[in-house]
Amino acid sequence: MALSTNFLVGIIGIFSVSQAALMGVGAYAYAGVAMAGMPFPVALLAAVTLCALLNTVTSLPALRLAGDYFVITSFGLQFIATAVFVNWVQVTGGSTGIAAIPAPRMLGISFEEPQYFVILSSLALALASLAYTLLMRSSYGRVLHAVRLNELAAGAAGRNVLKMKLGVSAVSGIYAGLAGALYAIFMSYIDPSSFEIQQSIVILTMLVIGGARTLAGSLIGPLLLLAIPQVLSLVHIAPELLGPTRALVFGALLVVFMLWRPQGIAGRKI
Amino acid sequence: MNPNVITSGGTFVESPGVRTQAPTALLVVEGLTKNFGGFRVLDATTFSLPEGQVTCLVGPNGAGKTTAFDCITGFLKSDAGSIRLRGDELIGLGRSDIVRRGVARSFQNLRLFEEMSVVDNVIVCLADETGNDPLTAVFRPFYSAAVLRRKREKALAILEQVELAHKAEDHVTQISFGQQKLLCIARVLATDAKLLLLDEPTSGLSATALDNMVKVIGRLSASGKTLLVVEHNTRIVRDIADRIVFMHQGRVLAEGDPQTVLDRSDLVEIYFGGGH
Repeated sequence: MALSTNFLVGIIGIFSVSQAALMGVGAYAYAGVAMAGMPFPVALLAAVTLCALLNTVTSLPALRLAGDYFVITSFGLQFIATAVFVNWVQVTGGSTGIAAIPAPRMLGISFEEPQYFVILSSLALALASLAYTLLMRSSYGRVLHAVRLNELAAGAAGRNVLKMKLGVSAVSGIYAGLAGALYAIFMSYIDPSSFEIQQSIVILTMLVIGGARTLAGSLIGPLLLLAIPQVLSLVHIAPELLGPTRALVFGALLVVFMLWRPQGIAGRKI
Repeated sequence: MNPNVITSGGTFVESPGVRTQAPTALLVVEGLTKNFGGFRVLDATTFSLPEGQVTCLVGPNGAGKTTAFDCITGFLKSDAGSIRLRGDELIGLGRSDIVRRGVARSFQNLRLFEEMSVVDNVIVCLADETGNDPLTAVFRPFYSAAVLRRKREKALAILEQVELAHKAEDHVTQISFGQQKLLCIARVLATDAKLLLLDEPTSGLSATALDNMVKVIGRLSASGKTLLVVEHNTRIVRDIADRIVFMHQGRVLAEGDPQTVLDRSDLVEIYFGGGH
C-alpha cells in the first residue's frame, strides 16, 4: 500500500487520503470473486482491475483542483467508501464483514498456512518492487518526475499531463488492489473498520516517515510503523489505551517528520 | 529581402522593380483578442511569422507580448481571433497537441525541472515519446533501457548544439544562470518544433553569456528554425531579428525590418517614453 501511495503522492503529486478505501475495494473485490468460486488469478485480476479503474476515475478531480482542494475531495471519497462498505450489506456484509475468505491453493499448497503465505506475499512484494524500479528508471519515470516538478513546463514540452496522471493513478490502483487482495487472504476476514480514514492516515504516515519517491522509503516506513504496536505491547499500558496511544505515536511521528525531515528516512521531499 | 512584402500564403508580390516570391508565413495570427476581466490585453492583434526567419516581438511592458505567447501555445484561451500554423487552426488545441504540431516555447522564468540533471531535463522534452508508458517500462525492460540510451544520445547531441554537453550530468541548480537559459533553448529544441517561441532569452545575462546566447540564436536561425523572440534590448534585436513586430497596448503598431521599425520616432517615444 505504501508503494501505491508513493506513486500517487510522491511520484505524481496527487495528495490522496483515501488510499485505505481503495485497498478496501481491492479486498472486497477479491473476497467476492474468490467466494463465488473463481480461481485465485481471476479474483486477483478482478481486484487490481477494479482498483485501477476506480483510482483513475477518482483521481480525475485532481486534474482540475489544486493540491489542498484534492485532499478535501479525497477525504470525501474515503467517507463515501466507508459508507458503501457499511451499507451495501448484500456485497460487503455490512458492519459484520465477510468471513472465511478462501486462500489460494496451487500445486497442492494452501496459502492459508502462514509459512506459505509469507512466500506468496514476499513474491508479490518482490515483483511490485521490481516493477517500481523499472518504472522509475525508464524514460516514463523521468517524465513522471517532470510532471510533478513543473506541470506547465511538462505540458510546454509536449507531454500529455492528463494522460500521465491517469496512467499513474491506474498503476497506483493496481498496487492497492494487490495489497487489498493479499490482506483479504491473510486475514480471511474483512470488515469496514480495516479500511477507515485512520488506516489511510497510517499509510500516509508510512510514506512520510519512510520517505517518498524511493523504493527504500516505501519499505522502511511500513516496517517501522508495524514495529510500533509490537514495541507498545512491551510497555505496560491499559488495554483500552493501546489504540489511542498508537494513534498518538503515529500522529506525533507524522508531525515531527513533516517539520524536521520532510523527505523521511530514505526519501525525497514531498 | 523586403520584409514588408510577406503574405500569409507566400504568394508572389511586387517589390520596386523586382518580382520575387515572399517567404511563406509559417504562423498567422489574426484578430487575436484577450481580456482579463474588463482589461483588454490583446486587441485584435494581427501579425504573421515568415518561415525560417527570426521575428522579434518588441514593445513596452504590458504591451501583450507574453499574453500573445500564452495564447499561441495554448496556455491561455483567447476570446476571439485565429492562430493558424500552415493554415491549420491552433485555437482549441491542448498545449501538448500544439507542441506536436510544431510550436514550442520557453518561459521568462525558466521553469526548469529543478531536481533533475541537465541531460534529464532535455530527455523529458524529446519529441520521441517511445517508451513513455508504464507497460513498456515494466514488461519490456531491456527495450525500455535501449530507448533511454537512445534518448540520452539525442539529448547529448542537442546539448552539444547549445554548448552544454560538458554539463550534462550536473544538477540544474549547479549550473550558472546563463547556462540555465541555454538549457531552456535545448529543451525547446528537443521538441523538434519548427517554430520556437523564446520569451526574453537574454534577460539577466552577463555580457559573455549574452554574446553566447546571440550566437546560439543565430545558429538556430541558420539551421532553418523559425523563431519568435520577445526581446527588450534593441541592440540585440538589431543583431538577431530579420523582422520586428512592435506591440503596444495589445495592438500591433508596426511590422517590418528592424532598421525601419526601430528608427521610427513615434515608436521610440512609445518604447522608451519621453526624453529619448
